[in-house]
Amino acid sequence: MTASCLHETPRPGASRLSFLAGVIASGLMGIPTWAAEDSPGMSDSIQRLWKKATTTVQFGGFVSQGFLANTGHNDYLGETSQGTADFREYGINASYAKGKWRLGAQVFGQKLGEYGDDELGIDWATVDYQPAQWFGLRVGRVKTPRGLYNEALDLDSVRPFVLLPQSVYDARLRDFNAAFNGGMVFGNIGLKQLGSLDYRIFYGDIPIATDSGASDYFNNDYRSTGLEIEMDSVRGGSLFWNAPLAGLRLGYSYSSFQDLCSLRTGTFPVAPPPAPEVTIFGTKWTDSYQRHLLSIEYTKGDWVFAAEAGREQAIYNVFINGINFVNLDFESTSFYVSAARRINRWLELGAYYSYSRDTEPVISSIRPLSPGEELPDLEQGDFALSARFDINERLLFKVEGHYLKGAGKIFDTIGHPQPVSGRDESWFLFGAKVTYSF
Amino acid sequence: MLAKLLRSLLFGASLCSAGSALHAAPALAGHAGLMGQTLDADAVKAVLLGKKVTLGGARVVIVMARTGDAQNAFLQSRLGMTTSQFQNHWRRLFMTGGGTAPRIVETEAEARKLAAETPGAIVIADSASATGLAVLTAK
Repeated sequence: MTASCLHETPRPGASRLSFLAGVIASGLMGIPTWAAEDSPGMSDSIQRLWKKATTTVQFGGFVSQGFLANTGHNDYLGETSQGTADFREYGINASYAKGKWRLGAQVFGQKLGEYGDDELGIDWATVDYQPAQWFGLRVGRVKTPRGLYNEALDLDSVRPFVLLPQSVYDARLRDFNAAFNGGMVFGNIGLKQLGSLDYRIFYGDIPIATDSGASDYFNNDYRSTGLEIEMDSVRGGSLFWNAPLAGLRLGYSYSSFQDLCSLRTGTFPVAPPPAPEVTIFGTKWTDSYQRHLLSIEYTKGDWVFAAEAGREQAIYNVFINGINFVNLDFESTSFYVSAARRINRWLELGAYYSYSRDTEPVISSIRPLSPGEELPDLEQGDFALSARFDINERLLFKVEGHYLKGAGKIFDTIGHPQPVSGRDESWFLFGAKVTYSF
Repeated sequence: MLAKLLRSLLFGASLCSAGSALHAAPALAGHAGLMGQTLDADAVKAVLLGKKVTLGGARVVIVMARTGDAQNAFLQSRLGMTTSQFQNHWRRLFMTGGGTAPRIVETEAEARKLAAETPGAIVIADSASATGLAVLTAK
């Protein structure tokens, strides 16, 4: 702000805003608000407080708008077969640190196809206490440590890709994967010549909405309407070794959802057509859904190489109308390899290959196949090429092309039926995104 | 012949010393309140990457220039990162609730000035130009 701005005649409403800002600032800095209110030079006090607040409280944010379209008629991330602009994220955050303490929060909204619906919510809100390099405590709504990039899912400004490799970072599960409510201990332990270790151990829970991508993911075994979905707790952690070779880190992440349970209703045929369909109420429950992820990243000069491989597993107990219908071994395996290179100040290029394979045996167990009907493997291979253009320091634009092979990772829901047998097996996806960060 | 050789050696030596004066080694310096703190290579890395958040009881405030030769050389040699990668590292931390972002100013001179005024501040500076700042890097 220039000196002349400070002495401008206040606009109507500006004084109220300034006063409010002063109250917030003085609250954050532990200064009683009456001290500012009662002093004769109230305006100066507020200005001083505001200046102090804006130098001690950090603000940041981003807004991005994208477009996705694919060949064929698979609808993958929204109605992508028609081309969709329902692909955006935005957030604003503030944080304040003093001594060993730090507090901050971010408000976030998104729309990805039918998910998110531009509803604002608290993305993260934490209080940190870090008395030593090797030990810190973070409580509140905390970003989930998982792999290399889970905590930075929405940060377009730190990578060239429009979509992170979906085998590991499924954008439809963003609200589920991004954060948990609870606490985490963390720290960095020096190993002298052997580099250092970053550890994080957490415990909490993740609320899941029935209209979320996570609900569709966990209920993707047959078309149903989610009535309720919840878990008892989530626990896990990550351990990363920062190797002595500069730029190299390797890690392992683990998480486990205890008593993950979904209550749902749907209709399905008890025999091949033309047998009538019956309405059922069911639960799908597992005492432990486990996720493992191995990660490696190497940064050398303008290059960044990364690879991750994961496995998810659960034994589901599927109840239909109160009867334990079947117990299922669910397993999902995934991996990707990626490379990115900063070419110059305004251009960065990237590429990856991402692969996932899910087992969904319940489809054939509950719903008998029609004569001649064959289920393709629920696999997806995704080869992507990306280009990022930095228009200026804050504004960037990305384009990306994907060649996808396989009919996996597509949801078949009541609202948007996409039976496995009717999906395209190979298709192209185009993505573009513009992001402004501050 | 001997005189010619001596003259050449003296000229070479003077060039070397002028060079070292112009390009003193970049070092990590800090607010005068951090005087007496000495950081080894691991500690420098930990502080710059946000793993160690206090020094001498004060919250670390990293002050950076938008770009600068000393800064670029230091980040590359100590962290193996370009300035852009370093900024990405911090953007990732700061935007996800994992740390307090560095304060960015235009030039290295402004960064040194701000560091001198800000308790707990650290800055990468040519050791020759770190007047008024506490040099924190071990020799």
